[in-house]
Amino acid sequence: MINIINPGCGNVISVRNWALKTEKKTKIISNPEDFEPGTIVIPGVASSYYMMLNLMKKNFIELLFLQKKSGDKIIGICAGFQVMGKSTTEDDGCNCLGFIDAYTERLHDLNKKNISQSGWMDVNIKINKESILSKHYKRKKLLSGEAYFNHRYGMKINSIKTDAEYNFDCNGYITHYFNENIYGFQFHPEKSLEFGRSLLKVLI
Amino acid sequence: MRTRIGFSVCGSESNFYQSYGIGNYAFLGKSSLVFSNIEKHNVDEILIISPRSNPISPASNFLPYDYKELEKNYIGLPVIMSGSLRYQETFEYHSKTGVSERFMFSTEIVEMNTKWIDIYANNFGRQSIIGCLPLIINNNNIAYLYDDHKKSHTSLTSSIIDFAYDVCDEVVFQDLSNYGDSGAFAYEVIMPLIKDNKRTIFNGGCNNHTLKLAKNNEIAAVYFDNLTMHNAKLI
Repeated sequence: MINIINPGCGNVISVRNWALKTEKKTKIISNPEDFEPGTIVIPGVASSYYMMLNLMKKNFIELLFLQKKSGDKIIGICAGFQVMGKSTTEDDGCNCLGFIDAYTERLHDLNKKNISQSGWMDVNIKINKESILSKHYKRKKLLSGEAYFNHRYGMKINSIKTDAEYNFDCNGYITHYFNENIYGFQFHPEKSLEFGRSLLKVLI
Repeated sequence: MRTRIGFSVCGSESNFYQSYGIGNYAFLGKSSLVFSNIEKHNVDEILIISPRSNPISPASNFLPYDYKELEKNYIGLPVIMSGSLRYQETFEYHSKTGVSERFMFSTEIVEMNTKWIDIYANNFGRQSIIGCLPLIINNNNIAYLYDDHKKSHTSLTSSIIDFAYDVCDEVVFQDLSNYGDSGAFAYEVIMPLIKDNKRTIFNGGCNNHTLKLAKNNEIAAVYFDNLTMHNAKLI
């Protein structure tokens, strides 16, 4: 089962329609009682501060910690990815789930000028033998494609676990991060055309 | 980032229409059919204008777009909604469902009113907010702002342009005078008004030449509102 959290914000239906391409059972969960064992997806298109606030208001925090412990997948997209870090400075700022040793801050370029990233960038995801993706992509060594980004805040890493898979954009912000059962995308796989569809296996 | 190519349509009930001159529309077909074919056109995003509150179709009999179409169809690229955003029921619908990635505001920019912009930004993030400056360009090549509520044009001041860039992630310069025409976008008039090329979108009479100019100037995106997409392959 693919459980897509409806936090009362974000592009929940867009993510659902993408997930349905897997032909797996997919449901939108508006409260923790609706959860059925399987993958959890936290969608994006939101402020990470309000996303975190809504997850708390709707009592999803305990479910997410239980899921992390269970080993079943949690997939975060954009703001849904950012709330898996330790903190965010977006809007009023808050502490987040802390599943990834990283923090979310206002995007700036190497000259410290605030920027916004809206558009398409090449993303490369390595798949080596030890990779957690290798079971999904047995014959591929690299997943590459143009991915759709739309964000003003981004995640910076504090420390990397050696077995984690990740990559950075040209300004040092994480584009994706996979470790154990935590999968995060700063870009929107559900809106990244063919490349996004090639990532559908991650959901299963 | 490269200059994006957008496809701008008017949605009425479950159908899409595209302009071939202001007030003139070609029926594109059922929106579900457009969604299933849109990737063949190599576009990066789609802007859907629901006509209840926009100046592009003042005399039309268009009805609001049926959002259920977005629920029913997988669309593999970003969807931007415009029109009717300042209605409470529209906001509640978007909050409850989440069928689009970005929202384009026009009246709020003209009136320099942040109420609904802030409501959407709180819910969907500031990165989802696009502002639109609907422009009328007179024979002396002076750009005026079109106020849909007053059905008249007002002066385009630098404070309004600054406001748009301040409260929105990106700003559309929409050439209403040439809306739907192919190759009439008032590039020479509009270019000096731009504050930040990388956060600017061209719309209204754009063609391949406009796209080339946009790419050369690192403009964020060009939205085709006319039939260019159907007549020429875009590179």
